[in-house]
Amino acid sequence: MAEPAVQYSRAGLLGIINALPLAILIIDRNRKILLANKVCVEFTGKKIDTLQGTTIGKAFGCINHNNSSKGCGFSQDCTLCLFKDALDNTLDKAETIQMVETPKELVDKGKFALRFSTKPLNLGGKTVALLSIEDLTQDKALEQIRIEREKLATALETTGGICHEISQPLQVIKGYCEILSIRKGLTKDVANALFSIQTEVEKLARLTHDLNHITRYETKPYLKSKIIDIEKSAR
Amino acid sequence: MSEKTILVVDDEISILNMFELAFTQKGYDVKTAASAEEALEILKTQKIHVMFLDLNLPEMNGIDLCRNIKSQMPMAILYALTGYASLFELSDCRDAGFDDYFKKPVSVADLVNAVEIGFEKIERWKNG
Repeated sequence: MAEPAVQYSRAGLLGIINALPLAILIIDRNRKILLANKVCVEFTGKKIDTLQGTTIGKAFGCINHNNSSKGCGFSQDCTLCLFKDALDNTLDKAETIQMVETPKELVDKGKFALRFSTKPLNLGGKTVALLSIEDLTQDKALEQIRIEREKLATALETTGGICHEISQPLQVIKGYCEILSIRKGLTKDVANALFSIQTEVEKLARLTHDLNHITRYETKPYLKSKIIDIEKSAR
Repeated sequence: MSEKTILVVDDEISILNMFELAFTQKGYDVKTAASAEEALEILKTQKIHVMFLDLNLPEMNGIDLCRNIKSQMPMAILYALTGYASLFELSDCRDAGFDDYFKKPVSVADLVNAVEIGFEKIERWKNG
């Protein structure tokens, strides 16, 4: 939704954005950085003078910033860029875009999980975009670890219940097979049938053994979905 | 009552029936109980020295039952039986006083072997 742009001075803005714990940038219509705060300097490892006047993609090392001869924001890949989309909407339609999470691959730095917001500002009579960027990479990694632990805990509870329930009938079948197999006068067919039953029971017993030894949550494709890979999870 | 009587405690009747048949065929007297409470009732009137306890029993579990029995009969040979146990539970088994531990499905021959070893131990201890 369009908001009226409040007018700021350059020096006033710099004072505000330097006091904030997020990476904050002021971007013009050419996608060039007019102002960047100290967190941007730390994040990019570039001096403030280098950042100012550089396009946002080049300054942060977006892997696509050089894909078009026109520069940042013009390659085919840029049509999918949520940063570009948000900045265009903010600069063209004065829209405020809040808390967008997106993955981003940066040159020499790898993949990041970023959260950003944009807001239109009036700087010296011109509409510019205030862009704030938060690095969620570590948080996302920790969240992934937590999710994996929860999955493992659920898998252990489930497999524990299955092991218990399966092992009871297996014990009865295995026991009776042994009792019957030592009886005298068994025909060859009956002896073979008992041996086959015992072999299959052993297979199921190995499965419950693997279920008992699950230490991590590994999956494998199954039709169109995924199922737990018991062998890998128990290794 | 025979000197060689075994107590099997499991809440699955089909398992009790199977073990009863298996051990009876090997010449042992077999008493069965479907709960810890039932087992303790049997032990009030009968001296049984070798027992198999399922860990997952209703009300009092097999580990607590083992502690209870060991406090009254420290020389008894107790074997744990379970369908599922983590390393922590195995540690609890040792701590409770179980002499050994078998994971279902276990071979009847292995259990019979354990029973024989159990009775041999008791005989040796009796004879000093």
